Formats: sequence, C-alpha cells, structure tokens
Amino acid sequence: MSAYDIVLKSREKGRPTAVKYIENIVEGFIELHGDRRFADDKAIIGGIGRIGGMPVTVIGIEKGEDTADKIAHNFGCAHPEGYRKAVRLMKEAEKFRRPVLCFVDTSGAYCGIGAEERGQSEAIAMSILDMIRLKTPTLSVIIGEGGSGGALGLCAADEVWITETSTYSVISPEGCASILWKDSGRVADASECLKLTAGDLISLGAVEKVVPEEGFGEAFYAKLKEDIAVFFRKQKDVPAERLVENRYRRFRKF
Amino acid sequence: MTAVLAAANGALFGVMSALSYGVERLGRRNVCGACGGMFAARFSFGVGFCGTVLRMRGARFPELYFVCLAAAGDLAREGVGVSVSAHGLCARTKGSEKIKLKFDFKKFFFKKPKNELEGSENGGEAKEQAEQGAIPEKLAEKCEKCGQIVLADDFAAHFGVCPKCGHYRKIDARARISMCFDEFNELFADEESGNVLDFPGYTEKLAKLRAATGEKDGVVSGYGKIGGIECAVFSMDYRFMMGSMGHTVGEKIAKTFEYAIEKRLPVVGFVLSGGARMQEGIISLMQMAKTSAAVAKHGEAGLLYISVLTDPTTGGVSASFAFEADIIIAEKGALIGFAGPRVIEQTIRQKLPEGFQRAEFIEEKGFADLIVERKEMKEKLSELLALHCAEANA
Repeated sequence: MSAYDIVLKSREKGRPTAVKYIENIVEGFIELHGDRRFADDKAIIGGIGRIGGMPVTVIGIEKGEDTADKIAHNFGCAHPEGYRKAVRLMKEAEKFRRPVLCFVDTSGAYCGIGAEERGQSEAIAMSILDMIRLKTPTLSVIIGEGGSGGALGLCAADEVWITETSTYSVISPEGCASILWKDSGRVADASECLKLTAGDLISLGAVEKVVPEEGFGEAFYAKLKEDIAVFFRKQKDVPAERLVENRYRRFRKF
Repeated sequence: MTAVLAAANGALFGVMSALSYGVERLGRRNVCGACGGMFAARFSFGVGFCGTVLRMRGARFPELYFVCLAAAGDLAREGVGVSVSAHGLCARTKGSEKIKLKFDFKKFFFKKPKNELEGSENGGEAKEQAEQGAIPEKLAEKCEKCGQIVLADDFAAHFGVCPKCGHYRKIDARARISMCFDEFNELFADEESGNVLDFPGYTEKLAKLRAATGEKDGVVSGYGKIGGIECAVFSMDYRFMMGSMGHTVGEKIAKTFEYAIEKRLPVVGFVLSGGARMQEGIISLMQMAKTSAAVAKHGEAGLLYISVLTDPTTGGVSASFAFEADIIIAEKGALIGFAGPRVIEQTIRQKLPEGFQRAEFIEEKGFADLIVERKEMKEKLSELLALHCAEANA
C-alpha cells in the first residue's frame, strides 16, 4: 500500500471513530461535558470509565459517523474549548492518579474566526504543556488522522500508539503539496515525502507501537483493550516524578 | 547647493537614460532586486526606483553597477548628493562614504552582450552570484507599506520602523538581540542538522539559505544582559524560511531553557515564525512537544519566561512555546494566530475583518499581556525583568 493509499484509508467513510472505540473498550463510560469557561466542544468527547476494572479517564477526538453526526462533531476539528475541556479532565484524572487514554482522529484543529478569537494557539500550547507534565500515566492512540498541532495537543503522552492505516503528520499532504510545490495534484508525492505512515513513524521513534487493525473486528478491540490495560498496570507502578521525567526524555530525543 | 544638485540631477538623467538603453539590451535583466522597479526603454524617474546600487547581471559586465534611483528629487531632499564622473556614475550619501561605480562605456557600447538564453562562458555562475547578493550597498530604501523613499540610515535609526508611515519592518535575529541587550554571548552556535527525512530539494534549500544569511538555521540563542539583569535569550530569524521550526530551531530553544534552568536565569524569547517546517515532517511536529516540555520544566523551577511575539507568530510555534510564557508581549501590529489568514478565509469562505489576528486583537481577546512598540521594547523588558528578579537589583 502506498503512503497515499494509507492517507485515503485513514479518512475512509465507515472507519470506526472514537465513539466506537470507547463503546468497545471502555466499560460504563460516563461522559463529562464542557470546559467550564466557554462551552462544550462536541469535537472532543471525554469522560470516565473502566478498562479491565481500572478507572480510566478517556478523551477522544470524534469525527462523527453519518453526515448529521459529522456536522454535530464539526468533523473532528476541535475549537479551543475542546482542548481546554481535555486539559480540565486530565487535571481531574491527575488529582486521583487515574490513567488518561486519548483517542486521536482529526485532520487538524479548527481554523475559523471563533477559534482564533478564543485562542486556538494558546489552547493547544497549554494542552501540550499540561499533558507533558501530567503526574499520571497517559497513552494516546491515533485511530485515523493525526493531523498536526490539533493531534499533538492530545499526544504528549507516555507512549503514542497508532493503528496500521492511520497517519500522523505535521501537515496534510494536500497542504504540503500546495504550499511547497504550488500543485495540489502532487498529493501522492507529498504523502510519500512526509513519512506519515505507521512504519515510518516507528522507525523515526514518533510512535511506540503499531496496532494491527484486523478489519476492526471484535478481536481487534479485545486485543487493544488488553494491551491498554497491561500498559496502564505497568505505568501505575512508576512513581509520578519518574513518569514525568521519562516523558521529558521521550520528547527531548527528537 | 540646490543649483548644484539640480545640475547633477540633469546630468544623471542623461546617463541613466543611456543605462536604461543598455539594460534593455540585456533582455530580461531589468528589474531592481530590491524594489522591483523596472528599468525599461520608457524609463523615467519617479517610478519605483529605490536607491539600491545594483550589479548588472550576467557575465559580460561583472563590474558594471548602476543605481536604482528613487525620484531624484526625493533623494536630494534627503540630502544625498549625486554626481557623475567620466568613468560612469557616482552617488554619494549624506556622510563621506563614497561608492565608486565603474562604468566602461567602450565595453558597453561596442560589444554585444549575451543574454542568459544565448548562454555565456560563466553566465550560470554570475547569475548565481547575482541572486545571492548582487546588492553591494544601499543608499535608500522603499518602504514596503507606504512606498515612500527612506534613507537606509533612517530606517536603522528607527529600529527598522518606517519614519514616514510607522510600518514595522521585519528585523533579523541578531539585530533584534542587539536592539534590546547591552551584552550578548552566543550559545549553541554550532548546532545544525540536515535533511532528516530526505525531503526532496530541502538539502539544497538549506545550503542556499546558510550561504545567504550566514546563519545555520532560523534561531540565535545565548545569554546576556538587559538593563543589568542577566537572562537567557533566543531570537528567531525571518530570513530562514520565515523562522519555521525544524530540528535545529527546536533543539536550540530547548537547550536555551535547559541552560537557563542550570544557571537559574529568566528567558526572553523573541518569537517570529510561520510555524512548523514541513520539510522535516513529524520531527518538526515533535519540536513543539520538546520545546513545551523544556518551557514547563523551566517554569516548574520557578523561573520567569517572557515571550515577545513579533510579526508573524503563527502555526506550530504559536501553538507551543510562544503562548506558554509567564508574560506574553505582542509587538505592535504583529500578526499572531494559529492559522494564517489565508487558510481561514479559504475555510470559512469569507473575508476577514480589518485588524483580525493583529497584536491589538490578541490583546483585546485576552491572549497577550501587553503590546509594546519596538522602540520601547528594551525598556519594557528591563522593567519587567527587574520586577521579577528582585535579587538582581538588591
């Protein structure tokens, strides 16, 4: 599969979104709304549930399934209040030393007047900064598109995993082709050059694990759930200062 | 005096007309590299000529210079004397500095110059040279905003702000530091990295920019003193791909914060960036996390970080260390935002209001602590530093 095929696959209609993952992996999920400052951003959903009996805070960027749902979730393009909600929930998790699990699937943070007025840059910057110093175990799983700063805002974790046909990139291949070569037709070339596939990301050290998709069947979710539970159980034994220091090193190496 | 100038201008007109004839014969090489003014057969004074001394492109006339002249009257008013000598053209600035311009009439009129397309022995080389710095000296410059002619010295005296319309020009990283610091020692000057992803064309681009700017990448860092208070500093450079952040930029900024933690220093950061450097792909995205981690660690150590957001501060840099400071200063008029205005206009399919994403807007919306004019930057920084670093004053 070429890099561009993977790009298309990562955006494919019918691909499971964050809600599907939460349904299949998290038991007794209770959604918590709002950033307590401005609004509840539906592009980012968050709440608390259990994974293998262990309480976990779960945050997911949700693209929506059908058209109406997509519009409701703004196609997975979050506003500043989305990131601020995520930070609020992470801080709450930190207080009770509960692990934080993020599902990331966005073409990027929303570009619009309201987003700029309410400080999109500041919201993402503080989300990265707070998440990277969080004194509780964190894990991010990229389940579709890992689009630029909008994705990184929820990817400053202990480990970042990615499913087989997901991407993680600094810019969309379309954006790259049109800015760099003034030719939006060269998307396939740009996809190749950006090294945004799971295989490339593993060799660059940007992700720790590639999750095989196996057609997104029951076995896929069961395996992913088991892996997440094992990871968090291991991380829970690590002292908080150590977690933060390890995370510092993880990102410092780039 | 005025009469002399007028006479000189008259004489100049004649020579410049001759030059314009020559320029036209040189085919497409008739645009001033500084102001974009055209030398054409219909040449006349007053249209877009900015006072830059240009070297004629092409191998035939390696030593031929001519002056891209602003409306001669404009220059005369600014006190520039212009005179013509037998060898060609001389222009004298306000001071005593004299730029000698050789002009070989014989060669000019009796040998047919080859143009780029005809090909010359070392035409390619000369073209390269011309592109990399064909402008040996500037007398006066044209303000990009108001189009008026300003003496180069005047621009410098006003910290790169147009004295006529108040337009803020971009200034390079070192100029920015020397404008605010009484003392500066560079750190991590050898830091550089290559084409990490083997991105096509990026190696060449880096080499070209390194040669043209003399910098290894888009940030200068070190430590120094503002108003007697020692602090670490980083300053980003627009000339290097508009300050975009790749590995070297991220590394030097992270190291600046780590140095400041070790020496227990505040950090002053002059931010200027279009965002992440896409030629470095995911590595450039990771710099956002890396620099944020360093800022956080510095902050947890109880140390002050002041960011100065200058024009432009957008993209990945705005969404990381730019907006993570204790005090965020926005330079007057700077464009500051997450997405660039064009991207937003394309997304929402409408025109953005005047002043959108400018420093004043950012302050009004509550995301900048204060707006500071360039000429007051040093003073404001030293006051803020003094308020935070009490022991330095004791």
